[in-house]
Amino acid sequence: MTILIARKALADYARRPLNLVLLVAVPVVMVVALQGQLASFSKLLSTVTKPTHLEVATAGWAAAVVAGLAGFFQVVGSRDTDRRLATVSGRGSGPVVAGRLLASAALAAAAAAAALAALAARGGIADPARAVPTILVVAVIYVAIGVLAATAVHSEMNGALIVTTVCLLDVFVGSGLGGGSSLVTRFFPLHFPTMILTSQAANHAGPVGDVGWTAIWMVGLTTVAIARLVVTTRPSTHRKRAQAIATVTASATGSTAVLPAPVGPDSPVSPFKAKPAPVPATSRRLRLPSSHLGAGLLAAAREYRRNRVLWALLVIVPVSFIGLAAAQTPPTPMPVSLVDGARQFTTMLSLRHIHAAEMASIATALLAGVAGLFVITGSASGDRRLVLSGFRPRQVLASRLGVIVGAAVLTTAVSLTVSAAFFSPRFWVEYAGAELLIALTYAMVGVLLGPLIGRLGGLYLLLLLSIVDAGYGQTVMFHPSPPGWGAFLPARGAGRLLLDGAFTTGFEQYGHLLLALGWLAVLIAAALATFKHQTGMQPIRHLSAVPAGDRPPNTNIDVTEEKSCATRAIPPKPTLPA
Amino acid sequence: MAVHSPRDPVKDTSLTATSESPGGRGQSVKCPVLRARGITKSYKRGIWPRRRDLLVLTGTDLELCAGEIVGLVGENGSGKSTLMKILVGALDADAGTVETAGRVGYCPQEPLLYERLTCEEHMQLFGVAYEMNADSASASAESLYDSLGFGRWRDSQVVELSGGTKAKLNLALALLPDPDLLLLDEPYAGFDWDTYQRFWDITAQRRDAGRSVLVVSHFVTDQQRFDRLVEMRDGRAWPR
Ligand SMILES: Nc1ncnc2c1ncn2[C@@H]1O[C@H](COP(=O)(O)OP(=O)(O)OP(=O)(O)O)[C@@H](O)[C@H]1O
Ligand SMILES: [Mg+2]
Repeated sequence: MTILIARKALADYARRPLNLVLLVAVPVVMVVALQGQLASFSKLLSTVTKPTHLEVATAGWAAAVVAGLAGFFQVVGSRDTDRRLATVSGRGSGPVVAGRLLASAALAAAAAAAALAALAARGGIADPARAVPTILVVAVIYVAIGVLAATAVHSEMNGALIVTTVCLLDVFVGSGLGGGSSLVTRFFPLHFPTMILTSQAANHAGPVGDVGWTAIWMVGLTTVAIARLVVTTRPSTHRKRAQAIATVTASATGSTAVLPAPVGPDSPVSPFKAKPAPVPATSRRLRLPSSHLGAGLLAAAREYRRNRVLWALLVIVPVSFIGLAAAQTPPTPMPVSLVDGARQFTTMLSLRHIHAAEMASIATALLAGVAGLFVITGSASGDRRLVLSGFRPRQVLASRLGVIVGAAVLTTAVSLTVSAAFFSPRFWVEYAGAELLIALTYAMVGVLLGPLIGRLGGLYLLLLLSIVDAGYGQTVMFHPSPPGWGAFLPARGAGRLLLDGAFTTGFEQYGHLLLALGWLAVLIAAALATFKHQTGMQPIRHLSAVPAGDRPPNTNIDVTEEKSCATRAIPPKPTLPA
Repeated sequence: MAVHSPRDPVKDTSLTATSESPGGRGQSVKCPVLRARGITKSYKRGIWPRRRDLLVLTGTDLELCAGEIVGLVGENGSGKSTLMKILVGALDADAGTVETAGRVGYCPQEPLLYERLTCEEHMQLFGVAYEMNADSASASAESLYDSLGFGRWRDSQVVELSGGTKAKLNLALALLPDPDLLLLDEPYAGFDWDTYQRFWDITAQRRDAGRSVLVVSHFVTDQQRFDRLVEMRDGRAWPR
């Protein structure tokens, strides 16, 4: 059974071929494309290290990102089934947990292998004896973090946010880029592994040593993750009644031909009896507005308002990420080229201020993107039914966008507040508007990616994009103006507005404003088209048996709307057998 | 809260007409209310290079008249749900035509619900979707709570519901607008015996009011409840 579970888990990962492509692509992009940028960045922060060392560290981070999310999604989707398996097998959670661990180990190995392959392709692995085991350990640490998150949360969205945040903190604030000196970052999981990868010795490792601490992290996290897995898959033993019900349900829906026990709320064995909902007075119950859009928006808002952890995360993540990153950055003056009035000039700005502004845009891009991705995928099947019942796809999409925009605005506001603790932008409205534009743009990227490639693939891409585009594609920390290739990415317009608003008083960036709005418009159109394609109703012809006047006007089959109705008859495909 | 705006009076009249005098409409809605011709459907399965087509429907014809309860039977995997989805427009066929008269209500095999919304919120939201006015929607919802017996869960979120109660809500959302044509995909899986009986009472009432019902069923013991049975076999619908 152990082997079977592991194989099934891996097959599940590979079911979407894109996941496999991204397994390789994420490390390659991070190592090949980002290494140069990261190197200059890290030099600015006057930390580390030779470029080759940083390259190895980048490979380690890539392995961490890939492994963390893979581990998370592997476990989060199968918690209930695992528990059920453990219950019916009668052999406890042992074999099931072992299967999950095997699959996790394989995913960690695959992530590490992909990262090492990217490193080798880039110019060889300089010190294999150091790099190979350390990267493997990094992958194991992150698989464990992913598994832990999966056993801790109820909502996939919340868990995915937690895992990506830990990743980002480790990469951007941790010892590789942020410098090994800060007290806080010593408690990050990748602090000591990064020290090893970059061939630095942490002078605070004590008698245990860097290798020792790394091992402690790995063993500690793995142990906790295993313990959590055992707890969440163990058939409950302390409540006899609960177990009896679980067995009935499991065998009834299993292959045996036992008739389902009546487990309705009114049935004697109902586990739900304990909690009859109080019926509030009708006057207290809120009515939904009668327009499609209004009702959709309000229902969507209510649905997500009940996910309190999500809103907490949308506040906590930017605070910790931007705050820590900026606090670590020295206020070194930097040349940056800006436009004020009709005049282009280069001025000296504090590195810390620039970093705070740019970290804010990475954080908002990622969080808004995650909100878009998970909200749109989270309700897909319900949304389809709503469309079958009479909503137009664009009305449903607009309702979802209401929630997504809410999340984007919240996380933008928090990011702005945090970055304002480190510097005050010269032109607030422009700065805040630019930040919001980035958030909305990435929210739409999430909305577009969700139906196309699913949650895991979408999350990988969002992570990559928000770092490559909102981060390094638009940065002015290494050169007075941002890199040329960044002009082709969605955050360029808003990125320039952001800097302009942060450091100049006037507003001249009309071209970039147009560019940003253009990207947003294109993404909205693409997202709407995708959503319509996925959620829209297939045209059905209306029978003429009912005279038009007699037909209720509120039928969900709208002949006038679907122009293709009359031509729905599709010629049979030639491939069909006779 | 938004004030409920009065509906278009023309719509209102016809709505009342729909729910109160179905017999009058019976004059115009004769046969058929649903006509499907030559439906074919194949699914793509597996990942390249092991990708292959799975032919599920090979030219299915089906007709339903007003006031008929038809049972759709067939082995697991014979394509009953696939046909249902095509009939209601949730899935596109490869070839063929589907024509329907009047409003269609669809109860999917898997409850398709929003986890964090309550039963009551579902009823309201779908009431708006069907463009019912608020009063007739809530009246219809009340009678469904009553007849299916899940009124005390109306303010519970779907995550907190038992499987059977979810199935009740799933069915209630299809019945809410009193549609002319009901497509029910194993609606009573998980119902207790009482609810199962009441389900058939409701269905019989609908039939007497001139509505048509197509039910996917595995309980052939209940044959006498259907006006006729249609069996899915080899990708086609055969009379039985
Ligand atoms: N989305 C899909 N992708 C690929 N194959 C599918 C998909 N949905 C259904 N199938 C296949 O099509 C066939 C018919 O499925 P369908 O759900 O219509 O059967 P059914 O008659 O409703 O069965 P049941 O009685 O179990 O509900 C099955 O072999 C099923 O595996
Ligand atoms: Mg089915």
